[in-house]
Amino acid sequence: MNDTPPVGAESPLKVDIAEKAFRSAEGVPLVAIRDLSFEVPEGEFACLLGPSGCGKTTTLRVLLGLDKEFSGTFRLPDGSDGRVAAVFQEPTLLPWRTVEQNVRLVLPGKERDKDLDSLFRSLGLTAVRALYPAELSLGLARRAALARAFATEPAVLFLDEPFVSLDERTAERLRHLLLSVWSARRTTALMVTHNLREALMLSDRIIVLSPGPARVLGTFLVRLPREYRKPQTMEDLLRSFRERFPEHR
Amino acid sequence: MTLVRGALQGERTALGGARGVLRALARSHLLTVFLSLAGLCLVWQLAANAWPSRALPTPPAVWDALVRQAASGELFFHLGMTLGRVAAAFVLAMGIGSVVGVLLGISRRADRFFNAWVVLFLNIPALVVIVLAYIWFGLNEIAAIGAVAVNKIPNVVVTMREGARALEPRYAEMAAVYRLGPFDRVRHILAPQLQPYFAAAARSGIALIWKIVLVVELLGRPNGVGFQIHLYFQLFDVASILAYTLAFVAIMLVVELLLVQPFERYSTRWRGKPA
Repeated sequence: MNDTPPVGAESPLKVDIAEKAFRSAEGVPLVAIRDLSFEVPEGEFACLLGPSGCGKTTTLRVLLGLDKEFSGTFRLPDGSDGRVAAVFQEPTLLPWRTVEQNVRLVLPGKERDKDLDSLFRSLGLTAVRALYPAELSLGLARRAALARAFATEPAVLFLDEPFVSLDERTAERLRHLLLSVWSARRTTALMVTHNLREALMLSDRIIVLSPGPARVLGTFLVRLPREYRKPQTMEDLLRSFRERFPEHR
Repeated sequence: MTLVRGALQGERTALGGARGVLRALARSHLLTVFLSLAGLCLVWQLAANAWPSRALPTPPAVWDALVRQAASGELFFHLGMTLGRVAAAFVLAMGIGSVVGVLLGISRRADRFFNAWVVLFLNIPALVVIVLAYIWFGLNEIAAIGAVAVNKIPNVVVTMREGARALEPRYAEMAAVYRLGPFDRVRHILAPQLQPYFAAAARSGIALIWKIVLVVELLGRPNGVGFQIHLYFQLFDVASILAYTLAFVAIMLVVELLLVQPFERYSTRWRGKPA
């Protein structure tokens, strides 16, 4: 893995959400995000870290264009025709299509027949590409969702807690798989998580959010190359993170 | 541990035994159907013998009528005409009903407005629609097929509306994020989710439509099974009436077995295979 800072930060992910509010069933407005602004340089892996219920997923939904009722602006990186890919909390594979069909479906028309062998191999999916999602374990389904996201070679990749409700060993293995696939083609990535260790292991920068309504408490840059993030050094990283953000649990 | 293994083995033999029993049951199930039908024929024969009358011909007499009609070629001509009308009305009703039903299921406002129409059409007797269609559009094929379709469309609308209400938003969101085209969305996201509802509407549709087609033919068409039944009713030829009826029931059974069921098996092949 090469951890030199990525070249060309000319097309960052820029987020400037002034306010996002929901209306509860009784009509009481509930502010989920207020004055949230941050930036992710092109080719960086960033994590949005915050307690559950602080508006992380809401932020992601706004950036994915699934929620249009907010005030503010954001700008996604261009390149790759501005393609966006997402890995949701649930794998969200179509149960009536095989793993391979699920992946090919999201490719633009002229790339539908492209060679996916190496992608499937690197995620350990070669043996299951002809299976239906119902025949997969949750870990395998998550890997298939990762394959779908990376197959499109997006300009920006969003991940919404893609490793929750997996046992720690499987989650750890998937994190390594994610890193190796991502390193092969560095795309701007923004992952939502409440797991500090996960964030420290994966990201170049951690954007720390306050409890809801979400706003940025600060940004923690992880400059240590990923191949050196071993248990001992991780403890040091954790300590320096806690020094800067003592209020974070 | 041994206990567990023993229990597991016991379960496995029990399963094997159950499978054998199931297979035997399936065989005996077919046998039961056959015996039951043979029994019905026997009761019919006995009844016809007990009260000899033109109104209740014996099974062999019906068979003779069937062979006679088949030999003259009339049977196949009229069956073909009816089958054509059933197919046309079916395609029309399923097509229009599905589109309208899905639109109503997706749009709450449209549903609130048109729901009263659906309830109204659902409750108009088939006969009224047929008579009005013949009066307004004349005794022609379009009026006939249209009247049958109008009778069926509200049922399809109600079923497909239920299906559209049950659509999973997360699949639509996935499609939006990955920018799937409208054609792909219908084919890979919408259609598979609506398939069970479509199958249910199609099943009940075919059964209802062929019965209404007979009424349409009786009232205003110069051919088809309904016309023939009307003819033999006037001639008081019950054997021919039964011959036509049984022939068409047989055809609908074949359609169900060779078309509807295989299609359902194919489109639900991804189901019921848990990891």
